Amino acid sequence: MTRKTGFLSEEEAIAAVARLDRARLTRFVRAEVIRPADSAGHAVYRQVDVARMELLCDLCDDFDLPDDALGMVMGLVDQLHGTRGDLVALMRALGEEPEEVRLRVMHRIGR
Amino acid sequence: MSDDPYDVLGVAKKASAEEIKKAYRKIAKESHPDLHPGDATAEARFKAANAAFDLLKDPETRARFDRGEIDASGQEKPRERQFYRDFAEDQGNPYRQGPRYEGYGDEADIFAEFLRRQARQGGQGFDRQGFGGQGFGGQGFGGQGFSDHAFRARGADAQYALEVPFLDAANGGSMRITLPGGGDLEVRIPKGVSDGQTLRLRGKGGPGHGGGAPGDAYVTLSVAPHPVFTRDGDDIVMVLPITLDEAVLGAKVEVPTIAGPVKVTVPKGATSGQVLRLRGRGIEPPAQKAGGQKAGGRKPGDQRIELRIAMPKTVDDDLAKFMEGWRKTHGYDPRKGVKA
Repeated sequence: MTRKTGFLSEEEAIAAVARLDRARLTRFVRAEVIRPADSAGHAVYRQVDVARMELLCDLCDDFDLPDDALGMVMGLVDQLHGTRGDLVALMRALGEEPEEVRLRVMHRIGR
Repeated sequence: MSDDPYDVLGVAKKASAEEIKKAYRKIAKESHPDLHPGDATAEARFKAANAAFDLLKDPETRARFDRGEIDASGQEKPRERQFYRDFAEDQGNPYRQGPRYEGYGDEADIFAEFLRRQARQGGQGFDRQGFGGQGFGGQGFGGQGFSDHAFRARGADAQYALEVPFLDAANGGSMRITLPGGGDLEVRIPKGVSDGQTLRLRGKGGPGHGGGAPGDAYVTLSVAPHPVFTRDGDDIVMVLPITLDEAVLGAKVEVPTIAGPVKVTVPKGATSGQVLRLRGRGIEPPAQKAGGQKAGGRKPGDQRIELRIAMPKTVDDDLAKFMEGWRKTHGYDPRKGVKA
């Protein structure tokens, strides 16, 4: 998938995410589940924020999550993805090791 | 999988709007890709349910579908949505959470951190203390816990967005961010950064409390477009206009590259669309990365030059007369095989 480029203003972000309106974006920012970036004194949104807003809209619309639960769920989602990212890095590093090292590690893990 | 939206949602053709919504939300809850990373079936199910619900939630499009006026894909193509998990596992994801590997080495060197913690605990593996420092909302607590009575809190992370000129992104450089509270922050742009990449500057975020470590600054880069160059992977791509006589006779012409101009030979008989390749003149992949892995010896990209024959502004009598004569005896058909 190609990532689109550039940063979005608040208006552009609201236009880019169909289910997002200003009130909802304000809620997300207040709950600190969206943290806009500072670009020369202006708040801008990145593509990662847009993807996150879509997920947050899903959580609000499909799961009926209240604001305080949003922060908790996003914290868990971020931990899950962070840990997966570390695991991928670890597996990649392990993959570059000689077979004997890989086997020893697998043996230690006990699977 | 059937692409009939009723089948996808598992509802009857006569289902009420409420039933449809309920069925959709059930699938959405069970199979959201951001909540089930790595599960392709869940993702397919979620996308299908999304498309189906998009079609059926609007009574008007639903009626048109029922009358057979539009097919299951509707008329508008569903917008290609970017999922959060496409970003979420990146080392540079500014929202990334997880064990923070504090205070050891420069980058998040998880191996160094494993070793350090193992040593401290006499090789017992990690127990609850072992994985200190998860935080929510970027305000993690320092890994020490409360053992020495002092309450230590890590400073908040700061988020910045920075537009980088194309050539600085290609060649590397240094830029400054003006901080909202005054002062500025120097950002070293590594060679070959790509659009959307986020740099993490350790300790450049908000100050910590009670002796806690400062937060990090995350700087997301946007690479500004260049009037001549575009980037395709590690390749630099450009279009080079050449004259009619250069195309016919061949020529040596000067061409810009990201590292300055070079002389390039346009072959005799060059044609529009022909691509010349300057090996190794593209982007040099950055010298990777957290965790100690190298760029895997990835070679620098190429510069690809697409030739385009530019006619003179006006076709003078000489040229026209020559062509008229030439055509009589040298006609050729470049459109052979160009058929519908």
